[in-house]
Amino acid sequence: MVQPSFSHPRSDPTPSTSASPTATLDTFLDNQHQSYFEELYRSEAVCLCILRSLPPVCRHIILHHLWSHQPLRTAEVKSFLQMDIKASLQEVDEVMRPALNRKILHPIVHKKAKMLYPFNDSFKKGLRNALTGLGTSNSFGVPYDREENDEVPSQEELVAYGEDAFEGILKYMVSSGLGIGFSVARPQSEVLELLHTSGLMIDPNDPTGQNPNINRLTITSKGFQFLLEDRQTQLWEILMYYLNAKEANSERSAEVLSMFFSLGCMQLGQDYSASQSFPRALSALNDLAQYGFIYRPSPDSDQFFPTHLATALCSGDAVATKGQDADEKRFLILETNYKIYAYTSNELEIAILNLFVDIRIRYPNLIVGKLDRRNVKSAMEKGISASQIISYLSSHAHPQMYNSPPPLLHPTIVDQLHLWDRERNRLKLEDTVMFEFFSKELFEDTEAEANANAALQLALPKEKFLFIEPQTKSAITEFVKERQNQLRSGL
Amino acid sequence: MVPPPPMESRFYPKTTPPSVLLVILDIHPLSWSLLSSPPPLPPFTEHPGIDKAQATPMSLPDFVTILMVFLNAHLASRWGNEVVIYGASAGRAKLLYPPPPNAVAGPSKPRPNSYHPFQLLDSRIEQGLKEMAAEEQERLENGNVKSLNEPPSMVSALTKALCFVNRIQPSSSTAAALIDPTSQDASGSNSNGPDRPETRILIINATPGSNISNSDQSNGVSGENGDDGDNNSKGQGSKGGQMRGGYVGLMNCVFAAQKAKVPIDVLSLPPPSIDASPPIFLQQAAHLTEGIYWQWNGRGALLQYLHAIYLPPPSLRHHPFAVPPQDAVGFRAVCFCHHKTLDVGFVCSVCLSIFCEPRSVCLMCKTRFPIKSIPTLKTLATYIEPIPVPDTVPPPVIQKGSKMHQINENAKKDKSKAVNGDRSDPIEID
Repeated sequence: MVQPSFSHPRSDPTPSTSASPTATLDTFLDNQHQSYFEELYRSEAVCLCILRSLPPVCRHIILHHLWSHQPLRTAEVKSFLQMDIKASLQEVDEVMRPALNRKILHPIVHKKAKMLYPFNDSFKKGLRNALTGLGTSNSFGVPYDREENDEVPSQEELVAYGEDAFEGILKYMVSSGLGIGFSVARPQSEVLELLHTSGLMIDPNDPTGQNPNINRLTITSKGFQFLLEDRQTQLWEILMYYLNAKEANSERSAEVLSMFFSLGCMQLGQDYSASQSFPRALSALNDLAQYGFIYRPSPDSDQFFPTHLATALCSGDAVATKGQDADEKRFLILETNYKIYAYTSNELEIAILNLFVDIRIRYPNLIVGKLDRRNVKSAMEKGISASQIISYLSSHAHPQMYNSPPPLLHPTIVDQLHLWDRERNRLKLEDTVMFEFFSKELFEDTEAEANANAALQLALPKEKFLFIEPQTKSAITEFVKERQNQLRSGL
Repeated sequence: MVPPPPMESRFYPKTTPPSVLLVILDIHPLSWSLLSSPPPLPPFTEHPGIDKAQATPMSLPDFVTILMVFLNAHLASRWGNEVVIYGASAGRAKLLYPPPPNAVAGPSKPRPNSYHPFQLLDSRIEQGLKEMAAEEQERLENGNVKSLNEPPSMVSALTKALCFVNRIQPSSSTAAALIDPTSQDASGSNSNGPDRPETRILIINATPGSNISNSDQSNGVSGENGDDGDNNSKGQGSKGGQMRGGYVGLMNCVFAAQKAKVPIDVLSLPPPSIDASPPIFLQQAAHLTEGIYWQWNGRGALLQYLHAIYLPPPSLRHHPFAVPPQDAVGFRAVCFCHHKTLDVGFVCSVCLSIFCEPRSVCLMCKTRFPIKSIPTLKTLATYIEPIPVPDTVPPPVIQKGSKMHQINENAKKDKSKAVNGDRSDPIEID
């Protein structure tokens, strides 16, 4: 029997949280062309955020070289990284790969026996301007000229607004899958359409997916996986679905993407003028309001406030972004006897926990439940994998859990979750057609024939049973009849 | 074309912890007036490229502009990075950034073309410097002209910086978390999570070491050092005077930083043409805490040097990034009795105080030593050759034309100057 080969919990405690929350964005960017980036790098905010998205080594090499007039020499990179001077160019390329992919550097040029990476001028200029504040593109948002006595929402109100709007969408997704009725307002139809096109929700009565009834959408397994991601990842996924939808309509997406980055550099609690900040992406800004990224005091005013969803977009790592709301997210205590205590009263979190936890007791601020095989497996039926559950559990672990020696989650539980995952894959259901033979010769000939046509699923020579792919049944039956006749006439 | 990527990714860290940069900026007016009108540089024939660059006058406003860009780059390089700035002027040090919590929040309105945190930082530094300059002005107008002759109080600033480090980074985080896991929001969650911020201190020194000596000292930083009770030496030579308490205080800070694993980087601005000998105690500080010491060559390009040398956080230094080769460090000390810089000193075996001549009674701990031993010690001491500053680390093999090469050249030049320079002069710490 093959030993289960899941990663050792000590070496890799949180396999999926280590993936960057902007993974979807990264793949999107890596597939864009030079011209796309030229358009993006006109905005200083984009340059700043793209710089932060690079891995640290690459980032510091870029900063190291930012104020130089010369192109970046490969020899310089090697000496800075203490590489062997004879190291191959591929190695240098590998280090600078992220910068090359983002078109910050142009590919290597040979010039007078020197290998150079020419800098992308628009990026260089953009980043320099971002650092010195000398840009002209208004990419950090033009403040709104408000009246002295206008009412301004506090930061807490903005956070609550953004949280409500986004969790409303998530709640709608969960409730569609579980059939538990907490009162959820249905998101607006544009949101539902996006959820449908992204494959997070489908209409079960519409197998083709062409003309869904958006009032009857239910969540898909992709949707369940989406729910378990951390907030940062969810936001970027939604934004990238939005961007892809725009692209599919052959609209220009660079403006919109650069607006995302600008929003990410804005200040929570400050109001901005929409028409001056994003003159070319106003409609996209309106769309974002539906997800709670921005708050507008009145629907058609020029003034808008970014919420914490927007301002945390470019923070790069999930830990530092949350600030005060990081503590709220750490509410789970998991014991080695599979008991879970969740100090939360958040409907959405409870609904998500309900996906794989058998909830036994519910107090106003505390949920007590148990991870058991039945619930975990039913969650896995829905398409949630063991590592997703594990990463959810560890990213929501209560600060008290950190006081016990690492690993954060006890290996017993991690292993058990993986085992349940394996168990699900142990049996595979397949349709089949069984043939029973009385003559050994006929059995062997048919087996050879089925084998040749890749129709054989299983052969049991002792009992003279053959299991055949159902769609080849008629062909095999023909063959058997023919062969039987031949054998008979041969007698 | 695709080399095995796992090798690469194992080599280089994927993420770094957020880093806090504490800058101590020397804003002593006399030093800056000297820097803004530097003497012409000696020709530097070894490297024609460098020789072409002229001596660059560097005024405080110019430098602060450069520093702001550098600090912005530090903030830009990672989310969660923070900056703390102390200004050290004659005899006093002050926190310039972040503003105290009860202060008025910065500019009311963000500018459309600058990232808001940058804008806050820059305007607050500017405001802080102006306030400090105004206070100095007031001090002068009140007739306290002598105070200008005090050295910049690095020790005071360094002590404050270390206290700051200690505040954001409690020595036993788990204990703190056990007592009250919810008390600190951001820093608390960092200290028990994987992302403890790493801290480093950058001292920007503008005061030349030995050539400019202050007149009568007025004991600028004696507050830290209670056991420095030797008041008789107050009238000692003008050069040693500013070391009063400063040396012991500085070294205490350095050892505290060493224990807390906080590297102290030193950027010494006075170029060799002003200051032949490096500020050896700052150099020692950098050496002992594994920081980077570097002396500006007076030929411009400070912005680039700052980015190239001081920007990478400690977790990326040495591996994978190279650090500039460090000059040989003179490990000379200052005696407790006359505040002279010594090559050969006498150490009390009980309290480890250093004296320039053998004594029958230790001035610090009052331990008595046999009088008979004094002549023996004196004769023994004459046998000891003053230890020459060891030759610099062998220059690493760096191919021509790279930036590190250039830095190395400077380092070599500084060293040769230092070796040839007037060794016997006591070197004073600022």
